[in-house]
Parts: sequence; C-alpha cells; structure tokens
Amino acid sequence: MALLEIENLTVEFQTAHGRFRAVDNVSLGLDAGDVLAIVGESGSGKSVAMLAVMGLLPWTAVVTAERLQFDGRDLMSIEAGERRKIIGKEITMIFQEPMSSLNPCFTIGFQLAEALKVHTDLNKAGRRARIIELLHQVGIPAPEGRLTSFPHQLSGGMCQRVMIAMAISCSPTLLIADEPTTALDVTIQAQILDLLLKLQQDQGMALVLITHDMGVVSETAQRVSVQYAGQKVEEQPVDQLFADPHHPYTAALLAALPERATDRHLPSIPGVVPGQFDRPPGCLFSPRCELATELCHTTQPPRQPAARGLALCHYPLVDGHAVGHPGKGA
Amino acid sequence: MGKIVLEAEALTRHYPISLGPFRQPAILKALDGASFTLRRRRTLAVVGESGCGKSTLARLVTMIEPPTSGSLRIQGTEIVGADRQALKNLRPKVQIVFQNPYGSLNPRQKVGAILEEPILVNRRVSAAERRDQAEAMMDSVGLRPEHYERYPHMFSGGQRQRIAIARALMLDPDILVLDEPVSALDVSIQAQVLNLLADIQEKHDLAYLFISHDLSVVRHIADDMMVMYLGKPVEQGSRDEIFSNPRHPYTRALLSATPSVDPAKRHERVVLKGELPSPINPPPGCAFEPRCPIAFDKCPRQTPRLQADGATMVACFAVTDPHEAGTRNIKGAA
Repeated sequence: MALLEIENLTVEFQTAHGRFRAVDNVSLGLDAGDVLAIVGESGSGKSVAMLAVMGLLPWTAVVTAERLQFDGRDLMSIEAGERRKIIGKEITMIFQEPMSSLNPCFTIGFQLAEALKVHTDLNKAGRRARIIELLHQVGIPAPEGRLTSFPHQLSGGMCQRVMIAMAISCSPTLLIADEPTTALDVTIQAQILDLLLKLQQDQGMALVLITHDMGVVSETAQRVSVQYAGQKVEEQPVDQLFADPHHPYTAALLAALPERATDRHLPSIPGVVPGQFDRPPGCLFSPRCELATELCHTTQPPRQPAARGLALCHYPLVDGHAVGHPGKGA
Repeated sequence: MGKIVLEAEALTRHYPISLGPFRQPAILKALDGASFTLRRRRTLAVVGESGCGKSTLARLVTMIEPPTSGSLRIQGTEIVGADRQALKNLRPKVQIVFQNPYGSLNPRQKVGAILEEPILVNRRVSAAERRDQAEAMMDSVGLRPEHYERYPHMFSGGQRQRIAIARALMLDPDILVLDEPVSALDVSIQAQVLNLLADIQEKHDLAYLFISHDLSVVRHIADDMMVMYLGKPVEQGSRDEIFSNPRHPYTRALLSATPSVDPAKRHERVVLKGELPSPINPPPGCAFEPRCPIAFDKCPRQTPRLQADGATMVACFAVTDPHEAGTRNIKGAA
C-alpha cells in the first residue's frame, strides 16, 4: 500500500476578487523510501499542495480531494487532535525560509525539545541527549554550546540545519522538504542533500523535495513531478525526464538551463505564468508554448498515458517531436 | 580584447569590529588583496560562498566605500585618495544591479520616476528629455511604454530586474556590477534576464563584474573568473581554464558540489567538512587549510600567495610547490 495517496487534490483560495485556484486536480502517489521531486516556477502550487497534506493552510483555503490518505488514514476527515499526532511525528516538513520559520523568542534547544516533548516519552535528560545527537547529525559543530543560542545568533545555513534536525527528530516516515537548500551555499547544500539521502536510505523515509533547482533534482530524486500554474503537467522517473521530456513546458524549462546552453543566447520561455485573471480557457501553457495550435487555446488538454509521462498535453513530445501535431509534428 | 576600464591592485578592505567597551577592536578582513582588471565587453565572475567578500568587492568597485589600502583605477583615474569632485565624476561610470529586485526598487515610485532619478540627480536635462530617455531605455530592456506609469509591485520578479537593469543603464555607464542578478528568479525568467544582459553588453560596450554563487550561470556568462575564499582570491583565470582544469582544492570542491543535470558530467563529490571560519579570527597560514583534503604541514604555518601556474593564478602550496607536498597525489585526493 502506498504511503501517501493524493487523488485530484484541488486547493482554492477565497480572495476579494473571487476564488483563486492554486492547486488544480493534482494526483500523486508515494511509497516508503521514495524520493519524489516536485518542480515548477514560483506560483505553480508546489508548496500549497504539500501544505494541504500537512493541514497547514489558512481558513481562506478550500481543499477538496477525491482521496488524501497517509498510511491508510484519511487526512480529509481526520480530527484535529488525531492530525496533531501525525503532523510533526510521521509527516514533517522543512520550511523554505529558516530565518523566519524559527521562533526568534526561544532558544533552539527549547524549540527542538518541543517536538520531542509532544511526540515521544523521553525525559528531560533523554531529550537533551537526543537533541545533541540530532545537531551533531546535521553537522553543527559543538552542539552542546548551541542549545542556548537564539536563531538570530546563527547563520542562515545553521538555522536551516536546525530546521532539518527538528524535522527528523521523531524519525518521520514522510519528510517534505520545501526548498531545503535555496538559502545555502553550494558546499553546504551538498552536505545537506547527502544527509537527507542518508536518512532516506537508513530509515526508509519517503522524501518529497520541492525545488526549482534542476541540478538538485537530477542528483537526488527518483521521480519528478512537474507543476505548472497549479496543474501537474508531467511525471516521470528522473533519468527519463531529463533524457526525453514529454510536455513542451518541461522541454522548454530544461532547454533554458544555462548548463545545457550551446549558444550565448539561452532559449527562454516568453511571457510569465498566468495569474488569477488571465487563465486561458484551454491549455494553461498555451500562451507561452511555441507548439500551441487553435485546439490548445480553446480545449483543455487530455492526460497522456504513463508511457508519455502522464503529460497534460494535446501533442506530447516523443524524442523531441510533437505527436499528432499538424505543423511541426513527426 | 576590449579596452581596460578598471584596474584593481591588492584591493583591501578591513572593518574594525568593536568587541566591547574596554577591549581593543578586532579587525575583520572582509577583502584582502584582490587584483583584477575589467575590460569592455568582457565579464569577470567572482564566485565564492557567502562571507567570502564578494559583496564587499562590489561596494568598493562602485565607490560606495573607499578601500583600506591598495589601488583602484577607473578609466585611468586613481580613486584611492581622490577628492569628492573626482569621485562624483566617476560614479556614473560604475552602476550596480542588486540581487533582490523586490527590495531594490522604491515601492512608492513609479517606473518612470525610478528611471529618471539618476538623470535628475546627475545631469541638467529638461523633463521632456528625461522622459524620452527613460522611454528609450524601457524599450531597449523589453518593457512596454505603458509601464512608465506603473508601480514596481505590479511587476513580476523578472520584469522588476529589467527595471533595475534599465535604471543602472540610464547614465550610460562603462562598468556594470551585477550582484547575484538572477539568483532570485525562476529558471525560465533567469534565461530571459541572462539573454538581456548579454545583449546589453554587446550594445553598450559594457564591462561586467558578475558576482554569483551559481556556477552553472557563471559558466554560461563569464569570460574570466575569480574564486574567493575568506576575503582572498584563491584562483583566478579564464573561465574555460578554471572549469576544465581547476587547480585549487577549494575550486574543485565548489565545482564538484554544484549539482549537474547531466548524468555524464556528474563526478565524485568532494564534500567539505565544516563551514567558513570566522573572518575576524581566521586560521593561521592558508585560510582553507582546516577544510582542505590535501593540506600538508606547511599549510597552517605560511600563507600562500597568488602565483601563476600554467594559464591561471593559484594560491595553494600543494599546487605551486608540488615537491614540498611530498608524495601526496593531488589529483587522486580530489
């Protein structure tokens, strides 16, 4: 049985100008020990979908899903008290901005102990020993002396590691890492990614990595789900995604990487992600897609089979050629 | 090779740090002996971790702060010890684009006012002419004329960075300092901005000082590179030479830590232990020694100087004195 099952998850926000759909019919499945990366631009609903799993969205959000199950338990109908037993223990999350996610009024020792106090039956000395062990694990030098530090006394990289220590303190079965390394230097980033992968291998933890760094994705993930404007547009195993992207958006995104550039001019994607008021009636990517036809602009695209990366596209790419495309097709 | 527009020699910036009322202030060596030249149509990339002095370098080159020692010549004019008038004349020649376009634009100014302000302050030009210049500049960076009356919050990150670039170009500078200009942007937008920067460099004959920690971007845009560690340049040379044959162990660690999307380019990671030491109390000898995988007994005792090694300049004993490093195989250790 899958650890996490999400079927047709939709999240809408009530705004002053009507409803805004941040996540649009996203389905995901995750087994124990999986590493899934969710990539997409800012505003593509990556974080919101995972916050919905955690139950951390504000009251303005309307969450609907055909199925939202964690380890056999339905997260849609779960009671708040039951949810609190899961969140922070079995499902934990590393948040994006370490500096603003830690409470500035409390020492990091206190904040780390809090999760252990709630979820484990360790006594005070046991908690202290566990915290020191955790801080050691995430590579903080001289952890004993750091317990009484406040977040502002630590650098961004240190705070991020404290966040990670907090997230892994109760040995979670599912860890959601929301841009865990964006604030960090490459050398520290390499250390953190190695640590997360080690935990995933040693403890069989499932890892969801939300990121926009394609390099990180290709080096850590097993499967990749690409999101665009709230929709999942493609999902493939990582090597196949980089070798043969099926959705034009994925292809354009990969081509725009400076690393893959052959010319001084990068192939860029014109325009920006559609906002609340300019969502096209057909394919959401059609205004920026160079392959878009009349059909794309007017009709919502179908979901392609798994062999074509579950691409949400009328003319999925196979080996760089758009199948069934009237103009530039194969 | 373009004309030299800026020459820096042993550029140094120290800050006194107060440790308390009755103690001697400590000296923070934010930048310690950087030498480089900037040429027209060339891009010098400065890479390194946070705290290595990249931004201090930007502050010195833009004349926001004077260097503690060393020499900095812009268009042949020495700015160390120069009087206010000379500095005032030189400042328009060097402009800067900051990392975060959400913080570097005044939210209460319209785009037009943002772009016209540099001219308003520095030149005597009529309002109509200012507007003409602003509109011409907006056109050349890909902003539409109707954007003139809009506020920064109405734009996306990529558009804001275009505004910031346009503002930097208003005084027709020779040198553009780019302080992590694309690191706050998404991949697809990043490509647009990098393309714009490449076009502008051609069009305006600009010299770029490109500060970044993203090596894939540096590899794309730079001509020359300077790798810094704790305020000191540790390796300096052409981009191709440094990427194809990195000599300093820190450069190698940086390159190997950068995740690559291409499985064929992937190599064994040199995972560095620990973090950047404090610049207030740097380790004796080579600053990189505590984290270095190939350090030997000379490293903690003496400070390596930047020396020519083949086509690049390196500050590492293991590279410049291989016989002293003994039998240790440097390539193998990396």
